[in-house]
Amino acid sequence: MTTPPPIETFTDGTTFEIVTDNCSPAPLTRLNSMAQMQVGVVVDVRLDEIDSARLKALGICQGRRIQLVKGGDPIVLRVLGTRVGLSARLAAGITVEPCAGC
Amino acid sequence: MIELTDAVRTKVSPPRPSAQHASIALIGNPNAGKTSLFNRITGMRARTANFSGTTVEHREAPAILGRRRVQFIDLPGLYSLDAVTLEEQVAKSALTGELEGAAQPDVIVLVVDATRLERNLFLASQVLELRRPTLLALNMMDEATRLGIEIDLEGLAEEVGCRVLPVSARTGEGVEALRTAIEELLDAQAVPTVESMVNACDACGGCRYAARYHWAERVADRSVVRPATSHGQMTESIDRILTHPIAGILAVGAVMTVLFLLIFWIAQYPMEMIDGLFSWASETVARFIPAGDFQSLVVDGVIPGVGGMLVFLPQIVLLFFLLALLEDSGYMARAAFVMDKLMHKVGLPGKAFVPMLSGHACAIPAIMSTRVIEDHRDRLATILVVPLMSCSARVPVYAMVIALLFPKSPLQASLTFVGAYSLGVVAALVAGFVLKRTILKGQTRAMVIELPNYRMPNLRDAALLTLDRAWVFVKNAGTIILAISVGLWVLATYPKTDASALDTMNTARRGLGGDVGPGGQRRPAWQRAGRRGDRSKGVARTDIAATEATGVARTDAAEAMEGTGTDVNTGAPSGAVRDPEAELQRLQLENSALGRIGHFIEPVFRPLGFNWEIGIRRAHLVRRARVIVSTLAGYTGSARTEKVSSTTRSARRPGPTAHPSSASRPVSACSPSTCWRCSASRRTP
Repeated sequence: MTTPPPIETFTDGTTFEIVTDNCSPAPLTRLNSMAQMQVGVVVDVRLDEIDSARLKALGICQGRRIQLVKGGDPIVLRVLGTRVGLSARLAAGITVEPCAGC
Repeated sequence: MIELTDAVRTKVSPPRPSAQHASIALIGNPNAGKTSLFNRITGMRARTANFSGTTVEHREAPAILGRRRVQFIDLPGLYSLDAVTLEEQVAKSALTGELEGAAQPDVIVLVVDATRLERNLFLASQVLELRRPTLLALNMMDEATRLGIEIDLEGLAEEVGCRVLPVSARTGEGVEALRTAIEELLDAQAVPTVESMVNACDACGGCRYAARYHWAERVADRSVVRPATSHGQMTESIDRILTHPIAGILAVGAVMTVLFLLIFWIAQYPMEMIDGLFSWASETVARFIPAGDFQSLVVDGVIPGVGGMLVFLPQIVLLFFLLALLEDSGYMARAAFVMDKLMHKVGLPGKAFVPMLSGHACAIPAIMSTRVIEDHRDRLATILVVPLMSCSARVPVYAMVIALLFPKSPLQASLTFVGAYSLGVVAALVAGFVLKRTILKGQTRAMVIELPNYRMPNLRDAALLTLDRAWVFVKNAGTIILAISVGLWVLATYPKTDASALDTMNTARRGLGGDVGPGGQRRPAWQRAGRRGDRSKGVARTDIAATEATGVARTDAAEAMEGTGTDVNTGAPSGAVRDPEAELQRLQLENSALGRIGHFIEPVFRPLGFNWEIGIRRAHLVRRARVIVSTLAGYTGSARTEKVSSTTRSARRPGPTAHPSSASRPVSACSPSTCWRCSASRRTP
């Protein structure tokens, strides 16, 4: 969205190339700011331990591909082939790399 | 309730199966059809129990496999074994044999939903790594076929390193093969040969779950030959309405309205039957036991006590049943989903909504349904506030007290009733708010909830679960209610006022002396009918009790009328109205321990305009509403409502004014003979 989170930033200042398979590089975004039906890959979950564990148990964890089915509060997303309802407060703690092609 | 469930544990838990009884645990994701499969395998013999030392519930059932007696255990539905929630901790230790008092299962049956392989395989990977003899039951194969999913069973078996058996708990297909396979595995004790996912890491990112999910995705990719062609389209289109922020909430309102209408409408028939049965039992028993204290104990204490509890059973059973159907259909998750934002405002999770609303029918099923709330603080807060809701057994008490307070002003009375009812809701919400900021401090857990595909609920599974829970209710709540009823009988009977006089009176009352009053005259028919009504009051149904509540007001009215020389009910001259029997009973009650307590607390209630009698009734309000109803019915009735109960009893029979919802009856239904408004207006000379 606005400022990309630090995980995307390389600190040594060297130039780098983002390698993506068929995903076009897109700025990272919060899960709840994704567009309807957009697909993305979770890059980071910043929540307290229990909430992260609950999310992970349902498959919302680094590296998983998710799709936003319905925005707002709470949101609905599709992950691991099933639909999961999630309150916006949690969604705001999840960073996603949206991709156009996957 | 915590204490209650602990009690359930110690009492219901069957003795641990001895060494020769092999135990078989079923584990799987929520909504994987685990319980259905469990019921299919074990039949009707399951019972609910708690794991030793915890409130975590599981079901277990004995079964015969071949020539072996085994014990099946249905573990709680889980997404992972990471020991974050209490359920996960308990399930994990149950599987590894670390749970105190529980033997390690000899075989683990991993129940996997074939339509959601990818998700289910995550838990599977953790279970397989326990390296216990494991079978994978690929459930919902019928549904998978319907959706066009094709799974390479052999490929999957190779990936997971154990036998894979396709089953359908719904149709029963494959269940026999599964039983045979379990039996074979009990002998072979082969452990899964899957490689450890933690070491075979091909995506060692920051998330230690990643490897497992990669594995699950890979296995699912390889095994699913053809993915779903029409994946959950129906679910998606229904959800467009049911998860809509406004339409969804309206839908919750509609569903709950229908639920309550069904409960009150259907329940009234069996309740009437139970009521009649206990009246009959009471009268019959009275005929066979000689008059005296023992007869009084049985007829006034035990039978009304048992009846007063059982009469609410239809409502409780229906509530359990309908909630089980809703849960199975997948709707409960949607109700929690749309209510979450609203419920958060009072510091409770969305999942607390249905339990809190169910509390208006009966608190016990409501409290039992709070199990779905994962966070223990949120769950405890919900359990603590649910009993504040005005359950259906409490409504007649409101009606009765209000009728006493405002006999002349229907408007004031109805407003008070609405107020009392709303007060329950407000008190619950405020209590929730306060609890979450004081002793249960902590932010309400934000919602993460799977929205399973809608499916046709299984009536058989719901019925089995209901039977189970109803039995637990009868055993636990029932014994307590019975004990209190008997205790109150003792308090109201001793010390005796005048034993000989009372005995004579009892003889007369119980019909041993025929329908002959103490004066030796044959009693008028309305009085005889009145006694039958009186007897039935011990087993008061909600609406009966509501009617009786009006009865008290009418009795007051009747007494008021006495001065004018007319009996309000019969219109007959009042010369015979204050019969010595009632007088004596009144005296007995006044001198009994209960009466003395009443006198003792009278000063507290006097500012409200209550005398000692109403004082003791009020004091009962601290007890279970159910007991209050039987107490009120028993004590106010025995002495005072006798002359009106004939009218109240006959009044509930006629159809035209009968209202399906007994809860709303005191305010909304108006029949000339039952409505307190009318009785109040009649009171004005």
